[in-house]
Formats: sequence, structure tokens, C-alpha cells
Amino acid sequence: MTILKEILYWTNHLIFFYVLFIDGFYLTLLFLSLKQLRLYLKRTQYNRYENEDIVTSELTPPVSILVPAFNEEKNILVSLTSFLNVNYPEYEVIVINDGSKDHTFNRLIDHFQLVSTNQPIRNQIHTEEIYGVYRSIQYPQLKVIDKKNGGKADSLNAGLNLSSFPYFCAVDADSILEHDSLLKTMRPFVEGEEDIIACGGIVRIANGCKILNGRVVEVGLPDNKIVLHQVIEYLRSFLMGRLGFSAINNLLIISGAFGVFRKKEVLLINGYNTKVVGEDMELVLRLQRYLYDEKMSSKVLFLPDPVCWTEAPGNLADLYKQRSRWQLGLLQCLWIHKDALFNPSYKLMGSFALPYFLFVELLGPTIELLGFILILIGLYFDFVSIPFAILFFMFSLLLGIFLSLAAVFMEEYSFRRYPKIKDMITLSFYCIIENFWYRQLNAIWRTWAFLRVLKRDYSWGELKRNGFE
Amino acid sequence: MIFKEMTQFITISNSIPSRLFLQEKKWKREVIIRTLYQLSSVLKSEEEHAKIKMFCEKMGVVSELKKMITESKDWWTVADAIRVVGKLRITELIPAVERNLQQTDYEVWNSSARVMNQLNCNHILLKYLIENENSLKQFKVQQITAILISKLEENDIEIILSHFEQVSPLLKGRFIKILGNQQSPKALTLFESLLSNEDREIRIGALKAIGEIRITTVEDKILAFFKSEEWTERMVATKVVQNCGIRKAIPQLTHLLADAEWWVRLRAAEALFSFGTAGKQVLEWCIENHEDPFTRDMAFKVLREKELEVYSI
Repeated sequence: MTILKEILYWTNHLIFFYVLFIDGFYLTLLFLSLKQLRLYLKRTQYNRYENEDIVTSELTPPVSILVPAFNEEKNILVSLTSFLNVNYPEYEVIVINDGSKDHTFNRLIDHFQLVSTNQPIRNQIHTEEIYGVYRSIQYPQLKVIDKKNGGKADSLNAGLNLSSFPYFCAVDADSILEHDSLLKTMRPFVEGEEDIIACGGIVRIANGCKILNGRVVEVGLPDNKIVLHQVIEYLRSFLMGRLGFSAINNLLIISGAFGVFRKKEVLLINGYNTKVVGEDMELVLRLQRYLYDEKMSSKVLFLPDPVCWTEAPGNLADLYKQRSRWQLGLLQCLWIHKDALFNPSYKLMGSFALPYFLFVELLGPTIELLGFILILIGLYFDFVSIPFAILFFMFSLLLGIFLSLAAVFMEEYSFRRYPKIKDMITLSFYCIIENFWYRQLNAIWRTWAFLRVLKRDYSWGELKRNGFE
Repeated sequence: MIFKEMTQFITISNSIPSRLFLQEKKWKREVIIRTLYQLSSVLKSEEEHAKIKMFCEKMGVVSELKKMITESKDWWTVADAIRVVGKLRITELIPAVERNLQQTDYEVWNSSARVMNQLNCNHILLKYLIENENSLKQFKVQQITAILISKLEENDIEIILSHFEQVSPLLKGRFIKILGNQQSPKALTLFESLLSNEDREIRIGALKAIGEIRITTVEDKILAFFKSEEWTERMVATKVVQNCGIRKAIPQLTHLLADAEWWVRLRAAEALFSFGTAGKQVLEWCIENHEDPFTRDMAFKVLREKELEVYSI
């Protein structure tokens, strides 16, 4: 009993210090994000380039928009309508039908009047077999690749092979780009003050918004409670996490739903890795390592303003699948790049960014869950003092609420996408609520995903789409 | 209400403009300035701009802006004031804006360069570039020349031509780009003389610029680039041949359809297509008879795509 008491005593202490450690990470990120957001707002308020200037500038490079699509019959037409109507001087849209089993491809053929072309493809990266390349009579900038199923990364590589322009924008087929999103994302490339190699925008949840002809015409919160929690999660992740890492030029993830990359470097590192689930993060990690290895001063950037709207899972089953996939993707990425962890050659990336992803994002939920269980055991056997447990619980709870509220108020202070006061109150309320079930549920799912990886179970199933309109 | 009153004043249907100044609260003043700013962006005639300017002087906006530009320590205040100067076309403040070209803050010097361009003071920008190019970062040179490309006057072209020889290869390249974009025949002789320049970038720039002007007096010199070892030169030469309509290049273009470089094959096929029936017949012949599969592919791709474009129009 004494040994058990000792173990519990030290484990609880370890967890206590761990919590302090990750809270330190969070608070540092919050501070960095606030600083970066202020600077960004100042720059856009007194902006150097107005949208019109970018449209007419000879320095604005043409962009290929790559849209991998697998069983996206519900959303593909709405998404493509938004991609084909972005405000940008020169671009092409390449849809890659990754062996869809539903009517995705037929819908594309009918709606856009596609015709087969004998387009030569530069096979710079190996991909699965391409059955054909099609072009639209209605939209000269639209190309469609029909290929054998090989996964999202393989589709993106096929799109890269076909693309004609020096920059590409990877987007999801279940997302909607705002009219000026591409323009805003390309602004740092055009301005040229810094050498930008990749730039990501913010992904927001479209559930609850009114969408008409591929455009979000009215922003609103969803009625679905599960999606509401995700709205806060996304705000926290993008406005606090990514903005903070971008401030120290150590952004390790650009969402697969919306990111622009310079093609030259992506081809140099052999495109997307087809063997991982989190191909978006893995690509950015390799790009960052490439920059360190080649001693290049180029940057990977996150901008909080260009928006891509996406459909979030509306039920627990789909959310579980999504979170399992994310956790597995993160684990694979960290495993592949384990040699960069604490490696002095990778400076801040090795000593701050990667440890954050390992200890906070990957292990955090499991340790949180373990700590919760151990404290309960400790309380039962009277190993843990009740005042300490209450204090510890209150501290974690208040900090969790504070961080979520900070993200929501950063949104309110900066972009005000949710203009109604009622929406802000709802979001603030859910910042509190999430700490009593959603956080714990996520921790359980992600821990479970860990255990599945140990059992070599890599399946996560397909998410069910409801469609935008 | 403010907007109504101001519109009335600007259109001179209201003879008592002083009514506007009865309210001295800062935010109202700010609203007026911003509205003027918006209005100024859409006005076309000089007369209307003169009215806006007069209005600004009466409000004390000019002295306020000058103070902000010369005394403020915050880059955002200076950059914003400079932008307002450009939008409201306050030419008296050009010297104050010009001094800010030297600033290191991106927003400040970039706004200054844009305002100079808006206020037709490109000669100041050109002088600044020519005199300081050695100390300027490459991207600053690129940004300023990109601004110049957007709007250039005839006398600016003269300045560029008269200083061309004395500037560095980097700035020469940018000047070629500017002149080519202006499609100025005045610069044609210069471009044609640069075709034998030692610097590859300058040669390519000159070729591109000739393509933009769409006239050449040295067709054979252009065709000689088809034999260049640099694929970029071969590619740009095909574009020049297309733009200048040099039909005698059809046999060489047919040969280039089998070039090792994808982009050269593409441009050669496009150039052939642009020559109408004669070019299309060559492409069709290549699809049927050419021994090289890459040539057949490219001829088919271009012919099919161009036909689709015609169909979609």
C-alpha cells in the first residue's frame, strides 16, 4: 500500500508539473498570437496593397487550385462554384477525382460540360494511374483528372503534375473559398518583403451559415451542439495556435483544407507523402526541415483573415472518426520526423514547436485523462488532499475557460465574423460547457486512437456529408 | 446627414459650407475625411478633385496630414497619412512624401512610392531608383518598378531611355520590363540592340519586350534564337514569332515541335496555331505523321484546346 501511495504521490506531482508545463506553452502561444494579430490588423488596416492593386500588379503570380475529391457528390458543385468565382487575375482549378465510387465524376461531367483531352502530364512525382484529363467548355480554367484511387496525397501529387503555374493552392472538395481569400493569401507573396514559401488561411465552420451559389451570404452559429464546440475549437486552434507559431516562424501545419505553396520547393522535396494520413502536416514539416537544412530564410506563414469555410461533422460517430484520423496523422508525422525533435540543428522547431506537438497535442489528452483517473483514485484512497484536488481542478478548469474565451474574444476584437451579440454569448457559454464533457470525450477518443495504432488498426471510416445547401 | 451635406457642398448646391464645421467632435471630422477619401477614389474630373482639395484645406486636413507624415513615430500613422495624400491628391505634400521613400518600414516606403505614382511623379521615383539602386534591396527595386509599370507617362520613358546605359543589369532588366509593358515603339531600337547582349537575362527581357511591342525589324536575329542552347531563349523566341506574325518561321517552328523541352514544344504549337490554316495544317500533319510521340501529343493537345476555346467563346 505504501508503494502504491508513493507511486500515486509522484505521478500526481508529475502530472501537476506537466499541467504547468503545457499551460506555459498555451500562455506563450496566446501572447505570441495577440502580438501577431495586432500587427496583422495594423498592416491590413493601413494596408500596402489593396485588393485591386494585387489584381493588377505584374508581380502577382498565377496559381493552380488543386481540389482532390473522393466521394464528394454532395458538396463538389457548390465548392467548385466558389473556386471558379474567386477574385484572382490568373488561375486554374484542377479537380482530381480519386476513383470516387459515388456520382462525383458524373456530376462534374454533366454540370461543367467536360470533354476529354489528350493532355500530356509531366510526371514529376509518381502517382496512381491517370485514366484521363478533361476540360470544361464553360470554364476554360477548369481541368479534371480522373484517376485510380490512391488517397488524398496521391491526388494532390497528380494535380501538381498537371498544374501549369508556379504556386498551387490545396483545398478540400467540401469547402468554400471566400471571394477574396486567394487574393489575401497571395498578398505576402506579392509584396515580397519576406520570402514566403507557403501560406495558410483560417478554416471556419460553415454549418449554420447561409450558403447561396457557392458563397456564404450570412454567417451564423449552428444549432447542433457538437458543431458549436468545434467552432470554438477551430478558433482556438487557428487564432491562437497557428498564429502563435507563425509569429516565431515555426508553423508546422497548414490545413489541408486551404493552403498556398510555392511549387518549386514542394517538387524538390518530392511532393506529398502518400504513406501518411496527415499529409498536410507532413508536407509542412518536411518543408520546414528543408529550409533549415538548406539554411534558407524563407518562411511558412499563417494569415488569420483569408477564410475557407468547411462542413464539420455533426454527430459523435463522425467526429470520432475525424479525431482518430487526426491523432493517427499526428503520430505518424512525429514518428517520421523524430530525429528533428530536440535536435539543435532545427533550433526553435526542434526545441519548441515539435515538443509542443508531442507533449501537448499528441500526449496531452492521454495524460489529462490519466491524471483525472489518478486523482480520483488518490481521493478514494485518501492519498490526495481534497483542497489540493479542488485547487488543481479549478486551476485547470479556469485556464481552459480562459484560453477558449481568449480565442473567442480575439475573434470579436479582430474579424467579427459572428456579428450578433447572441452568437458571442452562446460561444462564451460553450467555452465553459466544453470543459465538462467535450474535452474529456476528445481525450478518450484520442487515447483510444493511440491504442488502435498499437494494434495496427489504421482504419477510420468515411465521414458522412450532409451538403452545404 | 453628414454625407448629404457634404455632397451638397461638393456639388455647390449648398452655399453655406460653414455649417459643416459647427460640429467639432473628432469622430464626425474623421467620418468626413474618410468619406472625402472614398469620394476622391471615384472622381474623374480635375474640377471635382479641386473641390475636394479646397474642402480639405478649409478643414485643416492638409496641415494635419503634413504633421502626421513628418512628425509621427508610428509607421501606421505615417503610412495612412501618405495614402490619404494620394487619394485626395494633395500635391503640396509631395516633398514630405518623397522623403519617406528612404524609410525602412515597408508600409511607409511602399505607400510613398504608390502615392508618387498616383500623383504623376514617376520622375521622382525613377531618380530615386537610379541614384540609390546599389543600396536598395532587390525586392524594393522590384516593388517600385512594378508600381511604375501600372502607370507611366511619355516623359518617364524618355528618362528611362536616357539613363539606361548607366544602371546595373538588375535595373536594366526591370526597365526593359517597364518599357515592354508600355509597348513603346520608341524603345524598339534599344531592345533590338540588346539581343546580342552578353547577359542572358537581358537578352530574354529584350526578346519578351519585342514580343510585347509586336513589331521587329530584325526577324532573322529573332529566328537565330531557335538554335540557342538555352531552352528559355528558344521558348521566348517562339512567342515573339507568334506575336510579330513572322510566318516564314513555320518550318523552324515545326522543327521546334520536337524540342526536348515541354514548354518550347507548347509555345511552338501555339505559335503554329496562331498562323491560321497553314499552321493548323502543320499541326494536323504532325498528329498523323510525326515520328516523335511527344510531338504528336503536343500538337493534339494544342489543336484540341484551341478549338475548345473557340467553341466556348
